[in-house]
Amino acid sequence: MIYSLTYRMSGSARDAEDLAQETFIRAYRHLDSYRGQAKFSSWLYRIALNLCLRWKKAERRRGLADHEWAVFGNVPDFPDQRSERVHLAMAQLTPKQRAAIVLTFYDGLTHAEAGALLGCPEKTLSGRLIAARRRLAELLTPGGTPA
Amino acid sequence: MNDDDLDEMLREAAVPERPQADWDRFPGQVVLRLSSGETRSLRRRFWPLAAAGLATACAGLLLGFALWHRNGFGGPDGTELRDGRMLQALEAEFPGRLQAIIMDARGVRPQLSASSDVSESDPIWLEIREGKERRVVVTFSGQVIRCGGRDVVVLADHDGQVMLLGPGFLWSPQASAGEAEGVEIKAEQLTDRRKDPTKRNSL
Repeated sequence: MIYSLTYRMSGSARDAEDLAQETFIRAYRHLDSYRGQAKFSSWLYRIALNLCLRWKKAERRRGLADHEWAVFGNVPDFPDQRSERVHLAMAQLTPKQRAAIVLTFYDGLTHAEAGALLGCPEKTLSGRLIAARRRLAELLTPGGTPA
Repeated sequence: MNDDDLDEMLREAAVPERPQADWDRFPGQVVLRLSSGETRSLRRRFWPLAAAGLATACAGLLLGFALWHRNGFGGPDGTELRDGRMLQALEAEFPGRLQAIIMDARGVRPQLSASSDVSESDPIWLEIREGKERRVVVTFSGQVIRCGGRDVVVLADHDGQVMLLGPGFLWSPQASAGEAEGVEIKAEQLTDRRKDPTKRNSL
């Protein structure tokens, strides 16, 4: 679950593993902040998501991330072409749009839950989701240019 | 492309699978990074933010210190340790590597083995008072913990009797000798809920 999240958010197997490792290290170091109110896995998930968002922000400031994500991002062997196209299309989204898709579509969170995790109102999350889906539909329509 | 087509494409887009060997290696790498004291391997990518981060961290530390002073130590009350959720969660994340969970004034932290060699056995609850310090340790028979200023082995027999043994240190519920005489210890072997989830115990 953690690796799927970090992979979908980073788009790179190398960075996904790095982020997953960092998630467990953060959890280890901050175990006393786990209060048992949420499931342990949800707590880990939140740590991973925050790391991914911060990682993306730092990378973007360097102006390399999305370029690397889409072009050099040590693209692993995809099981099929369709998966690869979706991967490349996801790279064109902003990190917040990507997070909205990952949380609601792949991890089944409601808009309210995803908004709470990302620290934004439900309406903002819904707006990001609409924009993300519109962009993905454009990119994935035959003739679209994801990369 | 309509919504249904988009949903189908997204649903069928799989995350590339990693070789099982990578997953087998994963916990060891985490433990290695922890034991080497590395804070983040992503450091190299974050370094341009270090200056700004330092300023923010200083402000955060000041705020945290102020709140800590106002509210006192905000550590856990041990509920997550007692009901077994933390033990189960950590064992699931670090299979065969969890040696102990320690709760003291500094908070809660797991003690992990560098290799997956911790045998599965019923957990042991230890409450240790040394002077003003109080620690709760959940561990397993055969594991080594710090007690009375030295490393001692925690042992439990088939009847659930717990014993702590080390150089110049012997403790059992019936008797203690050496440095153990200055340490107040309560010990209990707990039934493992992993083996019978219907059983409830004080873990």
